[in-house]
Amino acid sequence: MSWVGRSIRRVEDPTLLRGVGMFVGDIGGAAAVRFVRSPVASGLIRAVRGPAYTIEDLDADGVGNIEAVLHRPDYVRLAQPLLARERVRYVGEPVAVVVGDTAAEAEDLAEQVELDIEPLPAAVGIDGALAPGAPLVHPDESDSNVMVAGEMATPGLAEALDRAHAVVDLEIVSGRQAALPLEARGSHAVTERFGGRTTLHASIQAPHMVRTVICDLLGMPEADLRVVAPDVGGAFGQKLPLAREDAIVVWLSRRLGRPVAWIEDRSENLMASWHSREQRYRLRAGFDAEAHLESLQADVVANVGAWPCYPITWGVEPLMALAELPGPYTPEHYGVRSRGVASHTCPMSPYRGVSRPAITLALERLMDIAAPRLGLDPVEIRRRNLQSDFPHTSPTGLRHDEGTYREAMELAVRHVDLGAFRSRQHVARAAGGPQPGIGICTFSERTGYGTPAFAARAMGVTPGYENVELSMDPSGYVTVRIGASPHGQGLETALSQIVADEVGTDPGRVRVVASDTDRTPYGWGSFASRAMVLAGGATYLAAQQLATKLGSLAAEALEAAADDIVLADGRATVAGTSVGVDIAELARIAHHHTQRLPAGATPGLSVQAGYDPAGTFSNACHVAEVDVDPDTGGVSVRRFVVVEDAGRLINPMIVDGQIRGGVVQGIANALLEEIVYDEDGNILTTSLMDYLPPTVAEIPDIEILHLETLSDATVTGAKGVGEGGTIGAPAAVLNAVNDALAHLGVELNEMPATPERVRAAVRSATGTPAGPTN
Amino acid sequence: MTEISPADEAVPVVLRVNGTDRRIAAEPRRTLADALREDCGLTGTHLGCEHGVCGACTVLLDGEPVRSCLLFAVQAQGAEIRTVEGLADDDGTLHPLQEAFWRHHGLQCGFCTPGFLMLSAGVLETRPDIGDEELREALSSNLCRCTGYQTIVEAVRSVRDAAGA
Amino acid sequence: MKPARFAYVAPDSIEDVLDALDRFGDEAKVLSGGQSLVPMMNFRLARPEVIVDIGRVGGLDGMSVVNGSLTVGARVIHARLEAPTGAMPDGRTEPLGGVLGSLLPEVARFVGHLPIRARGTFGGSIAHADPAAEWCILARTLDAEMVALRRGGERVIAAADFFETVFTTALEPEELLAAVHLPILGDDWRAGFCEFSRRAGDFAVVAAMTAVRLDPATGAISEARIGVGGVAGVPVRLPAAEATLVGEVPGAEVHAAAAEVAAGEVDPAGDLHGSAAYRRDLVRAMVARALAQGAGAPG
Repeated sequence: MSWVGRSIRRVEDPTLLRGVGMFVGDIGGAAAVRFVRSPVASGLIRAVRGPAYTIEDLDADGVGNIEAVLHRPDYVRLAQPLLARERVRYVGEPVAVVVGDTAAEAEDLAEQVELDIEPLPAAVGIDGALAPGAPLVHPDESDSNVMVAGEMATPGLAEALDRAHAVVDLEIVSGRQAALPLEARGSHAVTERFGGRTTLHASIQAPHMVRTVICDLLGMPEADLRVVAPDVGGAFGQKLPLAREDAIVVWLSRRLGRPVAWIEDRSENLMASWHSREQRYRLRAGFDAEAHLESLQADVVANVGAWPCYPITWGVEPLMALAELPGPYTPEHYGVRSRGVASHTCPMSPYRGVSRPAITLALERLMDIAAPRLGLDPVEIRRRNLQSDFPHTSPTGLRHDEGTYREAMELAVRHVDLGAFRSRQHVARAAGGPQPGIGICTFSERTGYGTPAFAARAMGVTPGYENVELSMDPSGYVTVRIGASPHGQGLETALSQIVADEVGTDPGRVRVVASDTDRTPYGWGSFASRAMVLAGGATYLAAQQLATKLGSLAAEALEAAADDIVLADGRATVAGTSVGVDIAELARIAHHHTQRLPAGATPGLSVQAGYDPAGTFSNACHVAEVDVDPDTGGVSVRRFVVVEDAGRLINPMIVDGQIRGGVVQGIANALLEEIVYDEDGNILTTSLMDYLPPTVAEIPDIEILHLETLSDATVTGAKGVGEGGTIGAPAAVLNAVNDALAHLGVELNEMPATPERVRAAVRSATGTPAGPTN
Repeated sequence: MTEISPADEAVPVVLRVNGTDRRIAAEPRRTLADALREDCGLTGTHLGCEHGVCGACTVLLDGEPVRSCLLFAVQAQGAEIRTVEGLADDDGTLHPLQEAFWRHHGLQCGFCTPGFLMLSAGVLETRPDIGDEELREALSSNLCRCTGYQTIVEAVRSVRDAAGA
Repeated sequence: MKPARFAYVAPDSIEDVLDALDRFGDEAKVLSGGQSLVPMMNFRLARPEVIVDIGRVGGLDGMSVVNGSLTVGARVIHARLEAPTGAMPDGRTEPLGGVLGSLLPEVARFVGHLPIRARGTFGGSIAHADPAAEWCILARTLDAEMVALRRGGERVIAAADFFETVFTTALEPEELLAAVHLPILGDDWRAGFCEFSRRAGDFAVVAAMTAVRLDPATGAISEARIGVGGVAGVPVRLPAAEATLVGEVPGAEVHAAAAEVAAGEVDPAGDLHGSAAYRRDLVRAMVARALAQGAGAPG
């Protein structure tokens, strides 16, 4: 029986359920680090007074600057100090650091530090940063706030738009949002008294990358820094980039010779961790008489904040938009300009979905707006436009492998019974009161990409491959050492299922070691819906090698041909017979009776494999049903259906968990969550009373159906699935909100669609307040 | 006049946690959450917001779920405190809620899990026949960023139903 | 997010509490359930020098019915108002019936979340004086009376005088809010409460409470109260909107007309959670819905 494809319980859970997991804040035994952060958005530092370390101390120790680089002519290169030097550029930027015996005492000390800062005008928001004469965020390095700009167009775009049967113009806006892992960031460093080696425990997604950059900054060999990501309480992209705080924690532990820890509080996390999503898309789309999307022109701006993030840089949002905007559609003509504009706000990092929630919102609003103008409904226009010939190469050169773009939509529409919904909607419109609406979203998601995709971005550091080391010990248990760094995704369980199938053992006899640079091969961690494809692929390949070794050992022991050996249920047997040997016995032989090994065989049972694929596209269709209260603008999501094609499902329960959690973040992005600054650059959303992640009361059950197109682009047939839920949900929800209010003439293209925005759209469409009790 | 604990001195505090008296010294400003974590070494109680919204720090105080970040340790003297560490049996057998969260995939990163377990334990012990709608309302007290909640609700419902069967 | 240092005293009698408040004056802050105060202390937005914890004081957590009013002790937790009982003059404790008996649970379920309702207290909420807090709106709408004790004295403060501005009341530093008298509305009253918040358990963006008294002969409204939170520094009454109701028979049109006047009568300031225009829209919707809810027979 195959273990792959079964929803076995997770091996990760018992520790966490007992409350004996180890998150960074649980380690203890360290002095408390507290950062003193800028209270103003922009200003010149005149003086820092009090018991604190500043950039001068870092400079005196020769600590370097962070350089997050893209090798592009349009990219402004900067050297970012670990603490603000001369200038502050956003509220929350770390200016100084103090160390106290307890967190409370460190906070007392931080209050004693006096920052003398001469405030300057701030550039806030996309328009504020792009305005002529806008305050410059990096005046010494650039005479504009545009920090990265990409542009491309296929020949004939303008002509195609000119001759289009119908042209649709659309502007969509995505508000600024935060990934909001429930455990904020944090780090804990101990430096050995003798030898001077430092161990950093940090709540991060990519321990090896963090080791490299911190060692570069501090001028130390990587062999002298061990980086461990212990249990990590959610990350969603926010813990991928280097936190400058983590580098300072290492520096402090080495300088002070005592263990130190920084545990970020929620306010800091909202103010000064990383933000995402603030983008504006202007689309012009040309459709032919059969409603085919023939030409697409886009202008994209992302407000990327005050500094780039390492190593992804502040090109991540604008350049992903540029490359992936056509989405699941096939415009023959495509042109785009995409810019990342700096502002005096918190820097941007990837957040689950990266640009694609906004890309998908733009495309799916486009389809819904174009449909009635072309005399079609939302299903038919998509039916005519979704990719169906695979592989398909996009105008930006991305290869879409086999998928089920149309089939997913047809299945979703059948499942929700669109006809019955329209009847209910008809009745509700006549009755007044809450108005039901339904919204469809179809999308594809580029996942599991290796070095080639990152190399195309011309990054100063090129992530991509994954390596896996796999060994069977003399007791017959398998240890898998991976470079990926799971933090809640259940990767350990899923990998154990892959190994179990390949070497004929039980997942309970597989241990996965991850997230510790001393114990794992160099790798890139967990992000970008990659770990199952990359680490899973490398594990699969390594497990096959181990199986081959076990097969030849068994062949020797059983005096049979290696090709005839079957590994299953803990035994190696000769096919078609009951003649066999326990795999554990083979493990003993391989380690303890090496005189019995075939000539030339290496003692032991250790193998390693790498995997570095070009990438694969998963696809999905989301359908949301909402009720909208026109009087308050309140939106309730009543039903949510997902048809997902993520290729082979290694553990369906875990896959569903990824989808469900992603959808819920997407619903929250669509309706609730927004980081807000005032016009002076003061952040207004620094508590969970102001930044609003949803509770269960705001969330419906999520119905999930699967299609399973085995990818030829990955060795396991699996496609990535970590981000898809978050990518599709905002567009489905906004389409549903617009559908609910279509009879009033409402068009709302901004997320989050807060009650106030919905209500304002109703007001502006109807001209008068809606009746108070209807 | 009642005795005053000065601001800058740790005062002796006895906390009764999971049936055991813990004698600690804490400044008056020490929250119960910090006292459990830092002074008692019970780090299963997590801090996700420290302003009473996320519920990761939920513990039982005399049987009722409370936010341990909104309570000073000095206030909790004399109360029966229960934390996630006391949920499983002494022999290690998981509590039915722990089993159910495992079976229903009611956790991913596990950071919110202790809070949800204690919230659910308090709710089911005091209201064993709670209805579906009320249960959902009760579970809306805490935040989870990974699961989307559905499997948490299913897990708690299954324990309620098994107990009532 | 750890609180600044404070000295702590937990008296076990009201007299000792009053002594402590008298001694420390405005350096002291009373800690009841702590569900509003402690978050502000964790953010260091509140930094009392001395915390006077009234959690060990007996005699502040009773509910009793006296002279047509329900006296709610300051330390009664929110959860007890989900199923309110009252000690009767003859000493028996009975479930509280009537209009107030059905209104209190209706309001209580909007107060925070279950763990907040298990710790937070009625008096704590009133003394904290958040202008969008449910109990403050209720107190203002029903013209509750606040009983303030000080060493050697007691005074009763009308709700209209009690709430002064955001988080500020008429209580003097040496005074303790000991109890609140809520009028038990007769069977000829109808009450409703409606609030709009972004998420379950959040503070209201806008909430409205209405109470109307019906002339048994004509069915027309003889007396009307409309209280709204979330539109000013304190919960407000809306006399112009109330006036439109008097003499009218309750119904959708009458409610809509009153709601329209209410929307014009408030003068909210905009903030992160709602612009002035949006809050007016919510006042219109919430007042109309509260009136519609209260149009039914008492529960």
